Amino acid sequence: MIQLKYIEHDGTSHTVTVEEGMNLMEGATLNMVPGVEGMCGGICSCATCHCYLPEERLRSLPEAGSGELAMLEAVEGRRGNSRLGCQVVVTAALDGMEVRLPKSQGVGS
Amino acid sequence: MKQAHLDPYDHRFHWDPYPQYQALREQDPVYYNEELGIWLLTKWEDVNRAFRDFKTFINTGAVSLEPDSGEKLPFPMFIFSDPPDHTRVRNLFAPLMTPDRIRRLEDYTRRKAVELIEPHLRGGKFDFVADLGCFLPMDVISSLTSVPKTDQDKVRGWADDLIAREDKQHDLSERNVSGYMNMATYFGEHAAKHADGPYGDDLIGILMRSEKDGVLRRDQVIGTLILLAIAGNETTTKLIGNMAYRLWQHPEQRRLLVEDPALIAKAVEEVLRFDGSSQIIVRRIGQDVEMRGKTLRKGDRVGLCIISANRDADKFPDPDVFDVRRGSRDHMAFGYGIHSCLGAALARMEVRVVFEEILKRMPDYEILEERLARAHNPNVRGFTHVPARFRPLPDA
Ligand code: HEM
Ligand code: FES
Repeated sequence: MIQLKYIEHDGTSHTVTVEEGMNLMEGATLNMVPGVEGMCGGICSCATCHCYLPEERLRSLPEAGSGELAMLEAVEGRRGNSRLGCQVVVTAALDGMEVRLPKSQGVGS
Repeated sequence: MKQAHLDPYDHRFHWDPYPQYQALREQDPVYYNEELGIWLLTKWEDVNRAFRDFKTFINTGAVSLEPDSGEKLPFPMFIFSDPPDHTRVRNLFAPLMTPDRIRRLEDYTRRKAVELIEPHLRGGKFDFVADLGCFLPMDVISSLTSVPKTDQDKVRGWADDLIAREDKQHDLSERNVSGYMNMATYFGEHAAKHADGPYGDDLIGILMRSEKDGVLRRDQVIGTLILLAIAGNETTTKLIGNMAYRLWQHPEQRRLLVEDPALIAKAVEEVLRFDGSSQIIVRRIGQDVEMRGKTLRKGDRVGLCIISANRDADKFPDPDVFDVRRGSRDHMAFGYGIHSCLGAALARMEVRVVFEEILKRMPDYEILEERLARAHNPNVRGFTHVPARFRPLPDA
């Protein structure tokens, strides 16, 4: 099991364990971490699993694919280190990572 | 006032269930149906909570309305399971079902749609479900599972057997069970044929490779193929019929789409909200929970009334107004969260492409209302026949 720390926009943090092979959206929703919706269940079509990853970890990850980049166009508060959680698979290399969450996942119209 | 009551198996109810759902939302939003022994949640907020709180509202042994219909199945379907097992299986397929990947199927889908429409253009008559809706989704999903064209009618027939319900039939019938068994036999042979590869980058390839790697057992492979044949088929077929019907009922809305086809994707979204094809999704209570002053006990069954939640005025302003420009994306026509429909991007693409091609060729279609016929299944909502007339192409 991999340990991850999700930090809500107001600073509230949640340290959880996640099985390798699951993704960062599931790491949050399966542990009931608020601030991640995961509305579409990880098929990269809702952009409600937006999160910010530390730069040094980001560099070690496979880059975002074209579908993820297209979905990221639509999120509020996009930054250089924005990713969609459902597209980032949890591996041993991510153990201990801090995942920061945006203020809103922009659910609704 | 008459006590709000609802029987999701009642054939009459299927024609216009919305007023009854509204009454339930207003009078008894956490409603217990004694006869069926099931709770029904009808408000958006409650249904959403149930979709998200997967520890309290569990899928193991639930999902369809008949008690135990999931547990009896010898070929497990991952929809009837919970995390972490559910997550492990679902994640095998999720990368194939993203909008980006589904785009690769768009040209194929369009070609097939046009092939199904064209022969009718000179006759000026067309049945949205019987001539197109019932063929296209099966064809597209079959292209991912390598079910040959010659077998598709057979598989669709069994899928129909499996979901057919007589008026107020509350338990599974012989026809339902035989549809299931026929599919199991067919997909058992199908899996055996593909077991040794080659393992392509499609659903059958992933299934068989996962089996070889020891990630899935053969019974799970067969269960998944059955699940895809049902889920990937019936609901999309029905959504095509529902969309044809609603656009015909709202000609001014249809005109907007004819004038600006770029709006069609949004219109699909509104049909999903306004008249979605998945009516009720069932959960089992995993731990006692209090809702609006009532206690739902561990083991109870609870129906999440999606089509009611999507008409909840506390969520959607003027919920009974059909507005193709509404653009709300938090309707729950595909569920919500970890079990959210794996085929959502595929279904959206298919229905959009169909109406892009239809509205180009028969923008003035008129539905023959007296000949509409409904499928009667408490889960899947829609028509078996949506016959229409339109101005035919002149003879060459
Ligand atoms: C308009 C068409 C469709 C509608 C309305 C629809 C609706 C739904 C709903 C409401 C669920 C959630 C079930 C739950 O929460 O327990 C679901 C799940 C599912 N759907 Fe669809 N569906 C459609 C098309 C498709 C297609 C084309 C496929 C083909 C791949 C598909 C495959 C699935 C699968 C595999 C699941 C189970 C997901 C899971 O449990 O993780 N569906 N669908
Ligand atoms: S969960 Fe929908 S895009 Fe990530």
